[in-house]
Amino acid sequence: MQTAEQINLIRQISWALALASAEDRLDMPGEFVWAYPNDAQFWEVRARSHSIFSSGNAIKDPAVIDFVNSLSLSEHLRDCWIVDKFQEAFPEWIASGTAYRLHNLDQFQYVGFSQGTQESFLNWYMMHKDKRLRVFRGDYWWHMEIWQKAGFNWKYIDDDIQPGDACICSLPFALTGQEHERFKWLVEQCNRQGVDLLVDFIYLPNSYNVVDIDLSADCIKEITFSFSKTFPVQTAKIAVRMLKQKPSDPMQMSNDENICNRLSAGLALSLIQQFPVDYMVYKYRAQQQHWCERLGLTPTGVVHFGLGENYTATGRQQETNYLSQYNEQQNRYNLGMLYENQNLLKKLQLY
Amino acid sequence: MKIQLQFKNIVDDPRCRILINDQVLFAGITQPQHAFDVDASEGACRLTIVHHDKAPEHTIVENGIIVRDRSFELERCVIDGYDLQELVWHSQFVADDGAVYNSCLFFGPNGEFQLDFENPALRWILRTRHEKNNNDPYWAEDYESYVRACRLLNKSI
Repeated sequence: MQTAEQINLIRQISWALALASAEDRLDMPGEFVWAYPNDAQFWEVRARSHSIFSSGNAIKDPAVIDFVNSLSLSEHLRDCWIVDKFQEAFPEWIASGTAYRLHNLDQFQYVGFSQGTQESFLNWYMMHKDKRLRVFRGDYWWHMEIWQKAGFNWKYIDDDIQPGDACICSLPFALTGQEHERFKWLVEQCNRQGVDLLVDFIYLPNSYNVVDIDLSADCIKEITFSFSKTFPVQTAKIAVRMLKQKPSDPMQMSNDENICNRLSAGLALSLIQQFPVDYMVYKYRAQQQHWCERLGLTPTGVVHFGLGENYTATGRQQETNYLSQYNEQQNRYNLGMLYENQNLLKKLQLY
Repeated sequence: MKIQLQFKNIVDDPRCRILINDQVLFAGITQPQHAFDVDASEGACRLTIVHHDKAPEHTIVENGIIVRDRSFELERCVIDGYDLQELVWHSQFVADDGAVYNSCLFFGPNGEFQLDFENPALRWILRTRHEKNNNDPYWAEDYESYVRACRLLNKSI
């Protein structure tokens, strides 16, 4: 439970960072248009103050950014093997994490570069179009938004899994940064009913002491990984999907055609050659502890998240869910902006 | 306090005086744009725009119809960077003959336009809009948060 003083501090930090965004005074500027108020006047700053802790995006680590800036990516455009090189290197890199355990990862022999996990998800939806798609409440809002827009048959997992369902679940769970309390039940249900399950390891590299999973469960057909939440390369849309059986879908057709995004694949390969998978966990865990204590948040198993009171509960009456009615993650604080702007916050005596 | 005024439809060099409280900011022929940096204390303020020196010959009537008339209109009022927008209508024009016209931005007869507000203008804008529309219950604490952030970053409000 946060004290009034801590909630007040959260507000102060939100407004100060929002104003600093408008005045171009952040230690580490944002990379999305919504991070830039049009001016430093009240209404623009107020709007930005509501999104300081939003999104699940990666920590903008200066060392990673400097490294990315040093790369010459265009050479990858003519390297017809670059995607294969990345796909070959990725499983060993992801398996090397010391803060989680993936048992039987080697059963997933089919590794595919994905233009963000969204490409993998779209292909999953398409190949399960005759199924009823299922997710837990609080999982990635994009699924539900797309299903609604495209007219898919879908339902939250509020009751038992039935034959004819197809499930997706993030691990750690997107809303809480922990394993969903019914995740093991879900795997057991999917196995029993012969239902396909996609496990989305979106936050895995930034997690610690959350994931210990046996991937040999029959129902787990596909697993996905994203770099967008691991390294500050969100806009390069780098992700990987791994399957037990070779897929036959549009994404695989494109990959077989050798027309993947080579700039992104080359960038991804350079990143995994340079940084260990748990780089962010070890670098920022002390920061997570500091800010969670300071702001009265509960640390999650994902190093850039803390849980607390809804940070939009005050001063915001409408459009509290960014982009989608299904985007309900206002109790999950992305602490990345606090890590990135330590110097400014110290100067303002808000650290 | 910074004040910007924008006038339109200015006909035949009308004379005006612009005041904040008793402080005269301008006296002369009305221009399309006026900008002032005013030393004003916190609290109640009145913006007054006086239209004067209009004589009967400045109104030309032909066949009972006014064909030309010295006059002007207030188009925009910006205080400390905040456009008052609809709040500029919460004003009155008091003609020299004693007639009072509410929400009148047209300067036809001699007389004075009066707009009462408060310094700082932002707090007044937020409070007034909420009082009229009942749609911003958190205006006061958000205003305070904004002021604190401005102070922290040494930015004027």
